[in-house]
Amino acid sequence: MATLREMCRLLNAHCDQMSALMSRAHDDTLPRCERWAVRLHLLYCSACRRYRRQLQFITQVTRRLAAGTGEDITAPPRELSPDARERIKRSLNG
Amino acid sequence: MALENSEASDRASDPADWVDRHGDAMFRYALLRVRSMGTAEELVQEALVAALTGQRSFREGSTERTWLIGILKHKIVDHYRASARELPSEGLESADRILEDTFSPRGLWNAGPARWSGDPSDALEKEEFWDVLRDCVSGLPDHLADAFLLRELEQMSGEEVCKVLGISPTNLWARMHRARTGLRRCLEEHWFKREPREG
Repeated sequence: MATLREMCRLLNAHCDQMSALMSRAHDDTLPRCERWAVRLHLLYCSACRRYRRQLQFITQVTRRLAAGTGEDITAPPRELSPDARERIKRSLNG
Repeated sequence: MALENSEASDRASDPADWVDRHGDAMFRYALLRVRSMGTAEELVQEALVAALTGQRSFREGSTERTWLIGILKHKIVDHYRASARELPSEGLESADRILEDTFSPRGLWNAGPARWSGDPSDALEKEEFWDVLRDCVSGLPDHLADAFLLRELEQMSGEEVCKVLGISPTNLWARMHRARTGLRRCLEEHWFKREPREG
């Protein structure tokens, strides 16, 4: 019964809660009820389907950002300032 | 990758050369993750001093760069652990308006995600796209960027991020949802809207 009540609550949930669950699915395994509620919602909500695709894209690009070691296309075009460079060199000599 | 291979050696080089050989890459690596030039400089210094004093020894089979970046990663997490305590414990809702602007009071999309024309993956080969993405991440409010950077850039598990920031899983999920929703909208506004639309 508790599960049924939970299911009904989730079926009445709107896009804000569904988008929260879709985001949470990137960080955690969703409980079964939540997983099914999202699946059902996605059957009829094209905006949430698009949101989900775009979240996957964001995960894909941030993974690429994470894999960078400071020297590829993803790295910020910055260098150590001359001051910082000198300071760090001094701290390594001291 | 080619550069890493050429630097592969079975022992670390003279510490006097570290700043010139690895300083800039380490700085960029840290800057991406802590968003402040001053903090990034400090962390590079701390990491190099730690390497010099042998707090983490160089392992054979690794490259000098990988070894130093590994030490830097630890310094970055330490930095977050220390600064997390200073975060005010105010409610997330009052700290930013990302979701309030995205959804109606009834919980429906205000405008809904726009269609991203063309193949979004094409963006990955363009340098400007990465500028926009980095700006969008840096533009997130601190309490969201912190969680997002540890989770997605440091690739820590949700559990680890909660420990470092001293927050509950529910709080982490809420922050990640806001961060992703904010980032999605920022990319749409600053990148995908510039592309010609279909239909």
